Amino acid sequence: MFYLFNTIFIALIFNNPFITVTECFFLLVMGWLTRRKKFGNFLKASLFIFILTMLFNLVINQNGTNVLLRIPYVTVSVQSLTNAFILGISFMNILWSFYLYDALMHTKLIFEILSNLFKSIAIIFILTVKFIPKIVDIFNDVRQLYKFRNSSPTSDSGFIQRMKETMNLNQIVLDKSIANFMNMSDALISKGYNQRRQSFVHETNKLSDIIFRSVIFISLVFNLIMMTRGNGQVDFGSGTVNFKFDFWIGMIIVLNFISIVYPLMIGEFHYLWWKSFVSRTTASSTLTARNYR
Amino acid sequence: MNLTINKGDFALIIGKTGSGKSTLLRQLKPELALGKATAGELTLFNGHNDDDFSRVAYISQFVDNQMVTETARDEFHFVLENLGMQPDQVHSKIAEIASYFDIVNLLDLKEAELSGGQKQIVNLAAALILDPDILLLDEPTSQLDPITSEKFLRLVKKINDDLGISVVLVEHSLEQAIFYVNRMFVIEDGQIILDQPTDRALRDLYKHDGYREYLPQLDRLFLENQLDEIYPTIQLPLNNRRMDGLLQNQVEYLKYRDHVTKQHNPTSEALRIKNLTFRFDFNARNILDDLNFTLEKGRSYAILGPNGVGKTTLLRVLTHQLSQLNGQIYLNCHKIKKFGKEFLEQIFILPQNPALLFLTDTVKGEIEYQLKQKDPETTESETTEYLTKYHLTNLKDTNPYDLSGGQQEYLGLVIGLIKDPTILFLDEPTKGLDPNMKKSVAQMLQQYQASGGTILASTHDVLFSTKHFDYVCLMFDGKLGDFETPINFFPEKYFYTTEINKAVRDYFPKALIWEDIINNES
Repeated sequence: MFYLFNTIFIALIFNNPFITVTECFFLLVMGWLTRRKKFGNFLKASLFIFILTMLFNLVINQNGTNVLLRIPYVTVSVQSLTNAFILGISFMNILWSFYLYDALMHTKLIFEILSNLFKSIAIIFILTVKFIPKIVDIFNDVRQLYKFRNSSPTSDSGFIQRMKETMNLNQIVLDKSIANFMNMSDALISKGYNQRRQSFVHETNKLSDIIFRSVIFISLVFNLIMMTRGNGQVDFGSGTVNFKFDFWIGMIIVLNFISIVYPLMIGEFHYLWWKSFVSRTTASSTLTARNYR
Repeated sequence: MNLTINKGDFALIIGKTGSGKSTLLRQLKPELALGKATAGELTLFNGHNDDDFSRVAYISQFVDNQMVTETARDEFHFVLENLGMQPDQVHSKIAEIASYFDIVNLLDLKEAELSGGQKQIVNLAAALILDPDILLLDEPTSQLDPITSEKFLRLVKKINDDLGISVVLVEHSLEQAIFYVNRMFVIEDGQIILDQPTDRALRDLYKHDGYREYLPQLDRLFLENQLDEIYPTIQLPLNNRRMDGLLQNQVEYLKYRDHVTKQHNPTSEALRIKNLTFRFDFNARNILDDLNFTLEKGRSYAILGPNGVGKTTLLRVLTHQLSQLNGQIYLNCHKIKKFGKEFLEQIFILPQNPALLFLTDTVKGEIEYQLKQKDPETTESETTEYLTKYHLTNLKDTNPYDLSGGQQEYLGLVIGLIKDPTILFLDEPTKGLDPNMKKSVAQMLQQYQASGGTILASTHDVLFSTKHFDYVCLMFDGKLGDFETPINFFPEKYFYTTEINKAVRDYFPKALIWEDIINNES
């Protein structure tokens, strides 16, 4: 959880192009390794948002003296282009850190933390996580099936009528969702949530877990200090964007690199350890050994 | 109502759709009870630990809404941590339960990766991890195919035998569950009208006109041919091997008469499918693989097959809820190019979850809505007429979501019949229906066919498709076999056929239902 928090935090606080571009690269690598199935589609969507953000920023922020291009209503300068790029890449980084969050976050962990602090909010959280996809499915199903009952499809009617139909449909979808909520409420009661006695989540920590947490903690503290000192940030939105590369920028890049790709590094270390030592003694080709490998 | 469940009982509660079976079951776990008990008391364990309802576990029919967390392992953790267990205890409990249920490989799979049967086994394991003394099961197999249902019931029986846990099972059909229970209750209008050990209960049901249809096919055959007089000591229910043994001695007194074959006159084409192919993702396997078939007007067609072979997907593609990858669909000999108003007017689909169809707050509202689609000037008296015609008057002010599963299925079908489309697509039309309701649904479908309607259904119900469908076929791996009449289709099958056919095939190879075997004197 701290890893994901740190990753999102990094994406939010730094806007120096050297940092944001390298971070974007690290995030893409981690995104690819974490969840390949949705990578392509998410990449397309994030590139689209990147371009859209850039264009939007070029229109609203036309500061700068080194003019590159002048078209009706829009003047593109080196500074406005830089600003647009910074905003676009920052936004893309935030999207990719949430992609990692979505791929790695363990629902039960958040649920437990919440349930120890705010029992009711934990229920709302679990219902949201479980039911937003379900409500979307119900909405799609109902919209499809509505056509088989209704003799005058919405597409044939006027705008106001269509609005009314959609609002009506939303109410129908909510009615149907309540049945699902009630079933989940029964499941929570059956599983003893209403008499929950556990106060803290117990976990067994190995040495690698402790190292991992320490690295993330150090990275968080470092980033907080850098933020308060103003390192890694450019004067965004101004006509004189001045970005530089110095020792601290280099340090931020290196530390962020380590903290973002740390799961990969530790995984690779475990693999090499296994390859070098363990595999020699478990080189058996029996079915069990093969399955284990 | 007075009811006692003994320790170690495996009790089955049956009754008409909407008779109050599920309501009773929920009363046995007060936290889940609907409404409020106005009188009477509920005693646990002979009055000891009267309030300890944590020793009563409950599993509902809604397979998908029972897992709170993402994986089985998390679910077990969640349940045990709610009890305040220490990590060591949690670990050992999970090890025990995962080994007992043989679900070690499923522990870390996400909910979406589990099949319906696997989810229900995880739900069962999560209920048993609490060490309950009583297990309440509300139609736990209603969303599972017959093979998976049988596996699930076997597992429950094993728990009942091994651990002495008392089980109370609510079901709408006896066909599978009867082999596992030792006691049966029948509920009618909120009263228990029968409470007997299994053998006695089956014989009593036979004497009762309203419940004779509930009897499993083999027991019905046994009792209808008065074999109980010849073999008075034989215990019911009968399995196929036992029936085969009995027939060895009785075969000369019995004969076969076909009650399944229907007369068919050729009719015109209603729907033709050409080279239909569908898959969900570019790289995924074909769910529908180059399908070709034709449906005739006024005929009914059933597609059989286990869960996950593409039956529902086929219906969704044919009704354009999903778009095909390849292939053409011809409706009334015209190729469908636009799936617009004209197309939608001619078809209706009863989905697997009929509640998705409902749009109003009352049963009457649903009927009125559908009637007004045909004629906006529909009057109150016309609506009442339809409510009477379909025996829905008693339920007219009930919210459709408060109906039982079977009643929802029935209401969905009534809505479809009021629409009166050219083709009726039905996805599991007999799900949750009691045997008597199945009979009235069959009559309604026959009337619809007689007026020229065509039916294409996906179903697990082998018996219903044998008795009431003109053609059946088996779907597997995205391929559809040829549609054949039940009398040609089932006797050719070894496993996928009726229980009667399996039991008596050595003597009467074409017999499919109990009515097919009659006394020589009849």
